[in-house]
Amino acid sequence: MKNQGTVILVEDEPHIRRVVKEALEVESWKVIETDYGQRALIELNTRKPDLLIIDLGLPDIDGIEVIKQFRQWSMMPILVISARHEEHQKIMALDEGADDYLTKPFGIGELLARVRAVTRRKIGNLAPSTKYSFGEIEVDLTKQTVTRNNETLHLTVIEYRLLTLLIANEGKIISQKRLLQEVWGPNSSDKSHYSRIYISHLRHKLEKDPTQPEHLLTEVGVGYRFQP
Amino acid sequence: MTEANRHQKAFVSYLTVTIALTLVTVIAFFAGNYLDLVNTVMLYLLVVFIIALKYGRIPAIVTATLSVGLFDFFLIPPKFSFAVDDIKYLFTFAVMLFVGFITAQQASSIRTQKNLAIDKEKSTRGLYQLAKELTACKDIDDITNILKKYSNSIGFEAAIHLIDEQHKFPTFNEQFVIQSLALTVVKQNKFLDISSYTNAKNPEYLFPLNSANRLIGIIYFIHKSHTHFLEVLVEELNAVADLVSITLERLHFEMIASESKLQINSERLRSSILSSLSHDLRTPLTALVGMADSLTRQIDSKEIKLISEAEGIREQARSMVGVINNLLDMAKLHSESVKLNKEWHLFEDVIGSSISFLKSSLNKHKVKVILEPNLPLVEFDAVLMERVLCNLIENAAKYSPMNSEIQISGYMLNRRACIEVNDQGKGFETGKIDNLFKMFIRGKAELSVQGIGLGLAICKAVIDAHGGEISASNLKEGGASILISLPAGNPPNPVMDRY
Repeated sequence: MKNQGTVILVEDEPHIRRVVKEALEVESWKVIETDYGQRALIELNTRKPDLLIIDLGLPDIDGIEVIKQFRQWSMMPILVISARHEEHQKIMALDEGADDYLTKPFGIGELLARVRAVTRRKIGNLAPSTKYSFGEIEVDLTKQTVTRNNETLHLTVIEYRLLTLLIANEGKIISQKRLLQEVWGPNSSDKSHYSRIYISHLRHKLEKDPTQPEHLLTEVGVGYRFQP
Repeated sequence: MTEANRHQKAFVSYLTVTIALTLVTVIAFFAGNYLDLVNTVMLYLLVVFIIALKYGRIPAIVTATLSVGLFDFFLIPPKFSFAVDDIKYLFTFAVMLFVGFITAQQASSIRTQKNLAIDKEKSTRGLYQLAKELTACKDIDDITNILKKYSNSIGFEAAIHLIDEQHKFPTFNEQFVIQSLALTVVKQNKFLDISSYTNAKNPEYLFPLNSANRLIGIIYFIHKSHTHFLEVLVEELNAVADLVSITLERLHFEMIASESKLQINSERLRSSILSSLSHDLRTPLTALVGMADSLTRQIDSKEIKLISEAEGIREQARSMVGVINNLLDMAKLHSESVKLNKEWHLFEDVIGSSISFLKSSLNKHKVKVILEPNLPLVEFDAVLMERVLCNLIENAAKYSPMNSEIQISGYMLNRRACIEVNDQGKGFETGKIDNLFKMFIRGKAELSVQGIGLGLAICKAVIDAHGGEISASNLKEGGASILISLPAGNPPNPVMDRY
């Protein structure tokens, strides 16, 4: 497997750090580990990594602070590790520029899937194709049509916009706030029920069982994730 | 003022009257040629005026009458006789008397008012001083001391009696009459003269201590000597009672404020303990899950037994995280500071995400979701509601046989949005249904099924916080059923869109 690039791993718990490091090394990542936020900022500046994986609860400074500073000079993907009970922290991290998060405790499969999702665009696996398909659905991005088993589905303008936004961020979390801004414009952050209704419409049109969706997933309290 | 004092003052005033009149008469008698009789009258009236100002009404009237007598006897011809030559002097006497009386009346009323003003100023200054001292009070003993000192200065003994929560005066426990009188005073918020009830020689009064929204107690005033009550003092005692009530009220609110400050501090401590506890418990388990997972990937795939043991470790660690999450949830919900992040959601969303969260523990069951078409938006905290549904669905999976069906349904009933979770297990033990939602109660005492009996208690706490209801029952065809209902509210209007 070709070298994936350099990842900086910021985690203060040595066992978790070791497990993550080993899993990433199997996938041909070069891993630089550190347990302090200040140290991480120095490494980030000198090593120019391709990915940052960071725990929010660090012994010296808040992980969110590291993300904030890193985002001032770099657009490299950031993956956050956080606990389940900290939805507001996840949202804060996403607002500050994190690309996705992993909820503790996580399996290695989950970790690698997230890493692949956040680095996909960067590495260029997703060629700008005109057609995109998942399950029984095919989306033609040039003709702007959506079909299921060659049968045309009628989507409204907003539903189509939503769907293409989700597809473009395949596998990654899109926060409620960002989704509202990109689909409904900048003054829509108080209209969160819009997104819920339209995601529901989309599910009814695209999912086999809209109550147990396989592709258009809700991450309660944070946002949505499209899983092909 | 004592009797002796008053006598002395009267003596002094009449002595002054005598001397002044004698002087005027002598001067007028010998200087009569130079002074006109009219001017002599003026001199007499001047004396009346000064006496009235200085000694009051009665000496002034006496002076006016004597002036007329002296004027007639010594100065009006024929001298040394009360007889009058010229009838026109009778008119002079009448006017003189009349002017004298009016002067006496007016001057003395000015004098009374001046004295009243001085008294009032004195009492105002006293009250001001009292108010100033009361603002520095830190407890009720301070107030009592200051009140006693002040009352002493105006001739009273005073004591504060506070009312308790049962609306009784514990200090009057043995004195039924005063107890009931004090209650009347407090309730009617009006002072009462109780001397006649207590057969006391000296006057005794009860003044209410009340604030705008609560009854505080009374002040019991006893006059130190046997005198009649002065109306002027009522106002002053009322003012004293008001000042004391305000001070007591201030102490009361200071106490509440310091208590709530304490409570905030203990809340803060509690939540910081909770968050460090949750971090410290979850971190090793996360490492455990990761390491077990990494083990399963490294073991040769032929070593089925080893792989399944490693997977066992991973699953046990995961379920431990679940238990810790429940404990922390419960602790948070019980801390009385739960802030609901309520928004308008669809049941579909939260049911779907709960099922996908539990995917790994639901692989041995069929999950069926039946939602009434076009369910409206419902207002709830989605994160908490997801925990509720996860707990309910996980319970259903735990307590029902493999490959059976778990059914989740959503519908509207009587303006309430309902979710029902049904399983095909054995149902709840009939006697235990009432206690199901209490902490650490488990439906069955089966030890083979993991859990500590917090799940349903958390569900109830969350649903209660939403103003909803949760109930358990057994299905006719067997199996347990939990029903949640939330108030429907007024959902925002649906949005329209074009194709």
